[in-house]
Amino acid sequence: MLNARSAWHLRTWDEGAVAWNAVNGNTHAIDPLTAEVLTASRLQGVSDELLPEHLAQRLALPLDETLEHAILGALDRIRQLEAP
Amino acid sequence: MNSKPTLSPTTETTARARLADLSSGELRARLKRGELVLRSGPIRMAIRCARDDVATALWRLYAEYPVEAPGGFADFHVHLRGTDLLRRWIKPQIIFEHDGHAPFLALPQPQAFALLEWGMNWCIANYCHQYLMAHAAVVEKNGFAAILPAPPGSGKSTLCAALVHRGWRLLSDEMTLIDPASCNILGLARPINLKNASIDIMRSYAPDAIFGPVVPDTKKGTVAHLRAPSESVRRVDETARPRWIVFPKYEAGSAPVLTPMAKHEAFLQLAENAFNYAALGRQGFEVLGEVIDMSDCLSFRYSQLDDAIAIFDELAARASAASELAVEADMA
Repeated sequence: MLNARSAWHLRTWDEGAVAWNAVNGNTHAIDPLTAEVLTASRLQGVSDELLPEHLAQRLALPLDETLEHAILGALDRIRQLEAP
Repeated sequence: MNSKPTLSPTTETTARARLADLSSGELRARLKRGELVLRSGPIRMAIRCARDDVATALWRLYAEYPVEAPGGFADFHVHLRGTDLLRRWIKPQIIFEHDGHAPFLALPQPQAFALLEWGMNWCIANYCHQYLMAHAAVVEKNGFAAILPAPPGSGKSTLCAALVHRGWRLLSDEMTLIDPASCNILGLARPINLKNASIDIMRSYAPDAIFGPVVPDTKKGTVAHLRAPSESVRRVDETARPRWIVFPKYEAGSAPVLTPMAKHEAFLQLAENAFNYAALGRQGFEVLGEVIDMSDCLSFRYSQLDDAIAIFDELAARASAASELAVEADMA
């Protein structure tokens, strides 16, 4: 069943991305990191717990507090965008 | 979605009657009976109106457009008529109807032709959801289309009018129709709606251009419609490939400045200018994304039309050169 978490469609470019949510019909411009978080979390189903490590590997970055904070911040923004 | 520009599949290319082939009497008779079916690109409008000033304006501005035989298919049936009996004598008004419904308030009679144009735009914008439609002008050169979305007052129509009088082909001044299957742009080549100072600017910039009635005191100020160039009308069924999305802004005294825009920002701005982006749902998102993918996205500030034309011509020349290089590379 379609829900806000599973209803994302994404189009990315170098400078940023746009994401459309089929449940609430809203389109948003998002930054590249948020696009990565959305792809992993919502399109590929990576769990919230594994998300920081998964993205650190994918982006070839050391997983430090700054990166983890940025990833969790992006995840929080996505949750806000999923509001009806 | 790599379809090359083509003749629109929804239209026929066989020779058919043009409005100019009708006698003045026949034009007026068809208009009175609602049997003037005018075609611009893929859209057929059956127009009913007993007013001579509207017939004259249609004659001036739509002379080269195909007309269907009386009783032929029309996408829309529109009617311009006077209001009640009292209003025939005191500040007479005119009302626009589509299939018997009046979507707008009545306007003073001198605004009849402008009301017809706005009403026809309204019909397309509200019903032609087989296309993704944006409030944007679109012009073409060497097979490449430039989409010019912009809010009122940005100089979009003036720039569009200038471009099509300096070698660019008019697809549309007011609305861009995008075929979702191919992402190609369909032409309408309807008259260009100019407002206020733009009217005199274009009179001096294109002295041979033909204008419809100049109507003061509308909600948009003084308006006049400029006839589309013959070449644009003749080639209206040729679709064009999106190549640039340019957000123009007239600024008095400004040197011409073309600035690249981030594609995600251009996407949102074009979506805001699209009449039916939300209604098309996922298809709207995907089609708009394709159009953005295939286009350079730019903002453009200008004050002099000749400067603007030079910049657009340079864009077209570069695109043609790049295209030729790509063809040579493919052949090698």
